[in-house]
Amino acid sequence: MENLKLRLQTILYYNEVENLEKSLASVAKAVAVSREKDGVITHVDVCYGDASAEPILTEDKVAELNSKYGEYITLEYMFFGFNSGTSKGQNVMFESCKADYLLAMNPDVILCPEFFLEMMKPYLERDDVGMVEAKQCPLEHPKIFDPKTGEEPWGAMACVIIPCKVFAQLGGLDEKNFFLYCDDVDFSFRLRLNGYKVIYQPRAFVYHAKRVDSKGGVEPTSAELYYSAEAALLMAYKYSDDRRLKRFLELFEKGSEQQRKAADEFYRRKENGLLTERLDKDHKIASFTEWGYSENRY
Amino acid sequence: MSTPVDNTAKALVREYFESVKQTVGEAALQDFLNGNITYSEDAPFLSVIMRTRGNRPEALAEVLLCMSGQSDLSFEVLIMGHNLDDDGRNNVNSIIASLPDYMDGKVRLVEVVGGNRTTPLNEGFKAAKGRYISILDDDDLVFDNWVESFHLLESENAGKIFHSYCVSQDWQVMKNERGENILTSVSPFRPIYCSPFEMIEQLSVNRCPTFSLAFPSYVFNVLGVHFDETLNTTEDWDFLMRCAFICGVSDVPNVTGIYRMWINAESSATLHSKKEWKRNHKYIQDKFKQSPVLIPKEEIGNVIFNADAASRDTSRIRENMVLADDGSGFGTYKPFKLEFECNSGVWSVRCTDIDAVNNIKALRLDPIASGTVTLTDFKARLVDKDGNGVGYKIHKPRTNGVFLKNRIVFMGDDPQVRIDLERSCDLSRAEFSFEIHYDVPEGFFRFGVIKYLGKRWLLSVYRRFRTLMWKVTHLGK
Repeated sequence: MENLKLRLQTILYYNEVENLEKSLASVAKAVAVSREKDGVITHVDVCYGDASAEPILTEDKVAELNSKYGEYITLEYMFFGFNSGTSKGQNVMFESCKADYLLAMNPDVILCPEFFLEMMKPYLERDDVGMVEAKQCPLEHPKIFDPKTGEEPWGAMACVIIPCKVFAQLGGLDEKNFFLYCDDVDFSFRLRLNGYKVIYQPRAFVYHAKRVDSKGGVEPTSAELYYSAEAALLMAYKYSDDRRLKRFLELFEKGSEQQRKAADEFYRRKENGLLTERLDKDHKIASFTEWGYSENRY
Repeated sequence: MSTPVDNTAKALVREYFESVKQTVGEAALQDFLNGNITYSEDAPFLSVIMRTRGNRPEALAEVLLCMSGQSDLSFEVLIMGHNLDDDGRNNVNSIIASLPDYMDGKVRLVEVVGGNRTTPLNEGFKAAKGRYISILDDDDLVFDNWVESFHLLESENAGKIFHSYCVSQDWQVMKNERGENILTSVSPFRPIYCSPFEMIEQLSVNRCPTFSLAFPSYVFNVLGVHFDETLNTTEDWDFLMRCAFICGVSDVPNVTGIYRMWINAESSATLHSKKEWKRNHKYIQDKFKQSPVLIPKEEIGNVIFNADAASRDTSRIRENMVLADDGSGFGTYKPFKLEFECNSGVWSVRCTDIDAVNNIKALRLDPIASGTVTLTDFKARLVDKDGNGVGYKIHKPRTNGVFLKNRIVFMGDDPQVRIDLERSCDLSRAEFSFEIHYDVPEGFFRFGVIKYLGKRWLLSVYRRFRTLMWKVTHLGK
């Protein structure tokens, strides 16, 4: 396989242009290294979907970036005019995608030089792969994975590559249920329900800026608390785990402001018939743990 | 009229200046006192000295990616290739050449032949152009605020050593099915380097990983304080303290990086014998004894009020000593408010807001940050909301110490005691008592070492077993 078409899709939301430029520079370098070494990826179409209230990039800036990195990438900029969230934004951009592979990632992620060489290896070696996830630095996700094959329960969409035909086959991300969180967990579980593997590739590492407090923890924002609580309920419902759903609803009804709001939203959807089809009724795929979506290494 | 006290004070000041003069030379001291320090116009804020032998390219590539992600790009990286062979040189050059274009000219290889592992530090500091210099190992990881945090201190604290916080984490090198190395984390962060610099404590033990510090370059270039090349280990501690005696230290309480502890790979801890570490430790402390030490005024209070050993422990006791698990894991909630008492070396700790968490299944006590300690006479008193006592059991496999009769010995840092409640409940009271000894009992070296090593081995087997079970359950293998 040579010269595969790859499209990078990312959602912008009040990002600093300087960070976008760093990320683009790293994509260009990774393409150059891929060309030099195996030629699997020789050009990347980059699609920015801007969900901010005002456009982050001007036409001149897009032209400047295209001129600077045009040898390796082509940048297309879409201003949505509404806050799409991640799942809807990715789906909207995918409508115009003509590539073989989709690289979905956060806009400020910096790729390692050998990114494409490493990320494409599983696709070159086997035909049952539905998603390959890169390792995030400096905070690596603690999900359990098989060190030999890289198989894992789900992949974090901070940086993943998915075959476009598989993305289309599954109808893209579930934008009805997941605005900001768990669209990646849900997509991974659906991949596995359809017989595909999710592969973790720690040799493809990317820099994803995160900071920790002096206790070594990450303090979530209020929006993160709300959307993660909402997603926890919708995941439990969608993956047919009634016990989990009941437990969360009981806890959330007495919990924090964000949890109570998430429980109210779940009941609203239920009353209005907005809950979607239930999956994995035999509980073979959804690897829920007490609070999380997979066992962790620690 | 001069009094004996005056004379003593004058003699001390004179002695201090004499010792500084001996270290740095009179002319350099005058330049320093007159502020005659200049930098070239293109000097970046920070020079990063990174020693490498070129034999762990995966880790080197990761740390350079961290440098590419810095929010403040006012730095240069000098990769000090020490006794590189052809493969090592090619590895380093290839990684530098593959950095994104905005890193062009920021990273360069400087080769050093001969000497010991301290030699590249002196060579690196000599070649550095920055106003400040930090040492980042080729296997550490830094957050995007690393350079920025130091740089922000410069406006008000220029001239001092800058000290930031960092966490430690266990990492492991594994092989995938292609036989390639993969680096993966195997423990949560331990916030054991998240406390201010303390001059007095630093005289006994170094609590500052190299990258948590940035040195003003004048200390090396103008004052001539160099690394002691007779040392092959702990050379950074010796250098830090000799600089700190002269220019002081300023803290920035941001976590700026991850100190990676390799559980199955080579590091300076495995390359040098325990005897050598011990010998160097003593050698450095003997140096400290030879000259007066100025104690920053911020620390004077601690010296006075923490004079007895038990009280001194208060400063080491952890703010987040008690953690609760209601099924969502430890560390989900903010630390409990604690009240401490110490009578005859026995600590009593009481959580005053234990009722903030409902349905508690387990508690964890993290009494202190550092290891090589023994906990004795551990007791807990737990009472539920109806006033009934709640039974508990120490979860031995999940407690990271070794049990010797009524003692728990902790060799590694971040000691933890996990207590499982007999039933999940809402607690109204949680009290603990225990005694901390800063050593390990003789018996440990007869029986405990085997237990300790056995436990680490079992943990590694357990991890592999869990991965296998997950594969069988979820992947149908």
